[in-house]
Amino acid sequence: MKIFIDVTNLLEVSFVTGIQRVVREVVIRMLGKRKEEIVLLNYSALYSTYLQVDTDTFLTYYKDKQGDKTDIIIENKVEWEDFKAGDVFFDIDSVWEAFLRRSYLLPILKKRGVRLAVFVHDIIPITDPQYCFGETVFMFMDYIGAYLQHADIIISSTQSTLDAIANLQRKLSMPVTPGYATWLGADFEKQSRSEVVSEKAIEAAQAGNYVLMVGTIEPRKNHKLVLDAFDNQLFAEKMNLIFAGKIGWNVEELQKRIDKHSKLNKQFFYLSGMNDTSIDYLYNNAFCVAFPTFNEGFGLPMIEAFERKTPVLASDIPVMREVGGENADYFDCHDWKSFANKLMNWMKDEQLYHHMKEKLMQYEPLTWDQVTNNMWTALETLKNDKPYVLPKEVKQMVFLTARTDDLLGTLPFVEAFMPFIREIILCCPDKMVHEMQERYSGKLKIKFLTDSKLLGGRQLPADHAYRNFFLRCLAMQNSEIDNVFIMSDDDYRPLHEIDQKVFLKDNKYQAYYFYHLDKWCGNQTEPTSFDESMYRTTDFLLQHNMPLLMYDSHMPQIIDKRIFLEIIDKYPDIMDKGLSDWSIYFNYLSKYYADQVEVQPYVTMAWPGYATVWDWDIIPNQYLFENYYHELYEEENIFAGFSQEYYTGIETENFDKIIKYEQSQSSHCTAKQMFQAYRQNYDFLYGEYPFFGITFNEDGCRIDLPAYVTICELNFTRIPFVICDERKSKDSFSITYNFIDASKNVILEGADLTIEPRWNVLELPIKGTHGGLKGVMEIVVSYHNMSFKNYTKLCVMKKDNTKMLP
Amino acid sequence: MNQIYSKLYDIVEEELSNVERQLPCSKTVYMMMTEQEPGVCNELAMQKLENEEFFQMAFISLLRRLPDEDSKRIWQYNIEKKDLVSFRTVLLDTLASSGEAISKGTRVINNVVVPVKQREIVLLNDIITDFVGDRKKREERQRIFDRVYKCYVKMPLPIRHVVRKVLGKD
Repeated sequence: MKIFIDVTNLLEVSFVTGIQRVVREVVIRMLGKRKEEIVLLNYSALYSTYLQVDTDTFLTYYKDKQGDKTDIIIENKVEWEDFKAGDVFFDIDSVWEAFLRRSYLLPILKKRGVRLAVFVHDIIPITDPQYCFGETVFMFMDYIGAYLQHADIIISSTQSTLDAIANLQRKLSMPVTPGYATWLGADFEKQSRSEVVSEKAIEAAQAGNYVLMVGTIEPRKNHKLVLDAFDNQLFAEKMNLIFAGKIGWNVEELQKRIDKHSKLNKQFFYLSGMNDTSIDYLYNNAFCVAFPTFNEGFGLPMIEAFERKTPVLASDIPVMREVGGENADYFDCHDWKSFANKLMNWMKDEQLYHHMKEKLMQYEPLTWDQVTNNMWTALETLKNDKPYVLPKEVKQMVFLTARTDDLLGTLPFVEAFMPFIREIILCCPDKMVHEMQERYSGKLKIKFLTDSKLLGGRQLPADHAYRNFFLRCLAMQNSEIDNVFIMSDDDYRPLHEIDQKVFLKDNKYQAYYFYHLDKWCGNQTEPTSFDESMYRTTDFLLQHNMPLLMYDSHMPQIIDKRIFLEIIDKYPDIMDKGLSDWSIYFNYLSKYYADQVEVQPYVTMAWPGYATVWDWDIIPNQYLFENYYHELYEEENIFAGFSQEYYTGIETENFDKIIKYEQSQSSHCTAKQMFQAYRQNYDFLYGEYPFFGITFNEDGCRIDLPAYVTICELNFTRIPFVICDERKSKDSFSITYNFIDASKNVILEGADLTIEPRWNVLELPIKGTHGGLKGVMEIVVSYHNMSFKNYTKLCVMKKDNTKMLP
Repeated sequence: MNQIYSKLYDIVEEELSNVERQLPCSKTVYMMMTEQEPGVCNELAMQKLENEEFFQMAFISLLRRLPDEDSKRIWQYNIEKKDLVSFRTVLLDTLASSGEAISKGTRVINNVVVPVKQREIVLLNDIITDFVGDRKKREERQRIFDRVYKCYVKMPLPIRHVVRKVLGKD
């Protein structure tokens, strides 16, 4: 399990104070304990990505206090793929000010199965927004809204803050996120004692007994109440008052009152810019510390006063009671008389006052080591329980099939290349049993789970996707199937000998994904049963807050039946929903058993069959299986001339097939890269990315095209058109493209595509002619016997041409 | 619309209204901010906003912050003008090309700032004219070169050497 921590703010600030001080103390100690698990991140707005911070140079600067901050190495990009299911993203800093808003970041991480932990210092911008700067409130709403929805655990310094968060979630009609209170440490690194106490501080302290208030002067801290109490009563009782802290925001009236105060520098002192030694001196010599705040996250000044055995009078609010306990006394923060009376009690009753001081002799604040241990304990709760023991080996393969020929073609490959498989379970129609028994002559032991056995009188759904999911769910409930097995379709063929480690490695299930479900739009013309099943699966996973990777990788994958049955149990009506069994199972596994699964890119050749069928999301870095399509072996197709049947030594041919497929994949990637280069170039020239849009309204259709477009020769370039449909009827439309030369001749006509307007973005595949062409691209959109056109300059680039301008 | 963000906005707005204050941006802008990719100004998505909201959203998406008081003062006149096209075009151009936006790595996408009725559909003839124009210029340049070259080859050798030296060819 990796723990990612965003330290961008900490690296930016020149003076570490407040929240950044907490971040520094916690991160140093977390690195001290389990450095190999921690990844520190710095967000680069310029590259719009996280960069990894080198932990050694980070510690050298922040812990050892050596060198310069510029010595900290920040280099490697951290891509989304580096965040894996089961990893933890832990936000400690004031990230509501970050460039990378959490409303955007957290859903992305969640979809990848990353667990989200956050340290919330307080939610004052929500509960008491009047005390905060407007922009801070606005940004904080984005941050806290995102974490309330997506966090797996909320850590805070106090139970009071957790209670406030829970109340907020109830107000928002949300389930309450598990919380953990850790407190804050007080053993901050002391400043160098070579600093001297300021003369102003000495003068103020020696003027007489005084009440001290430390901290920025702002409305929330309620300095006004204490000043009212002193003006009305306490100055007359010969008590002095010291405010130590800078002037904050929205205190203009109070500031004028301070500046013009009649007792200024006599009984009332305002000290700004005091070093730590001076603050220390003021704490040590104070009669007491006043803390009349309206709201706090923790109230560190209270702990600092306790450390110096100085009594504290604090607001009677839950967080102060929690942090101060019996060590402080409390008053109504809306009533100056309440404060004045409490103070007068101490002034008049020496015994009472000394009793408060004596209590503090026993006081020991929490250390940062203890606080960090508390945080580790909280983070450990994110690890899943492991009720199921993983097997050491897997020997069974389960096929769902209705095609004897395809299965008979695949089984020899399984027998030859997956020697650890000894038994096959076939979920098939009853009529297939006899034919298989007659025709199969291999060595694998085959058992049959026929439709009639599985259905037990139930009706089989007509739709392909509904039927498959229904049958698989039923099959899982059958005792013939092992607890852990390899699930496959009848056309998934291993390309060469493989080891069980492809499925089960280092005590983890290997899970292979090929797309992100929320990006899936199939071929966009006529959605297939498979496509519709993916859309339903996406909705289901979103509804249940699960990751959104697409595991229909068209290759055999390992399944733990016990976990599948858990899914069926948890969602009783799931069997009738026609979902993707692969994606439901593995996303559930990633969410609830993240420590037992390793998610990786898929390893299937010929999925897609033709490299241009859809836009590639994940590119395999090796091929272990083939998704067999007999069409690919027909004349003029990619595998024409290769054997479709197994024979001894077919591995050599398979390697040749891999090379051919990789070449077609590479061409597609080249076209995509060229299009990306064109977009960057366009942005450089015009200050914006090229925009392709189709807007429908009641008046008709508008086609927006950029000043020019560049595509790759001979390959399909998928150009994204943003679709905006303001019509009431939302009818389908057809779209095509033509290439026109300078003499107005149409030299290429694209195919007509009929599109249902359900997409926000349509990817139009446009085939390039031979490179070097400069002409015009015409886009034609038609519906209801109306036709709309627009034109732009076209340049078809040769693959090896570095010039990008038309 | 994300109900959680919407309700959160309402809760905070109510707290602030008790002390006669308000949030610095409208709910529409807030909801749009939570849906947008940071650092990207999606002009198409912003089309439906009123001028004041468009102004706020442009700052949030291009400069990653809310408008400051000085900017509000400078742009207030334009915000109140009814001319959507020029205000929005100039605003986006100004912000997107500012040093602040560049340093923050932000960019505009889906720029359809001109409304339908005012937008000119590009004519095929305009583009063809461009290409033809380019070709004519190239042909003219070639003709001039040919004439100069004919004169050059007729020059005596020493003069040709001098010409080459002057042109830096030797």
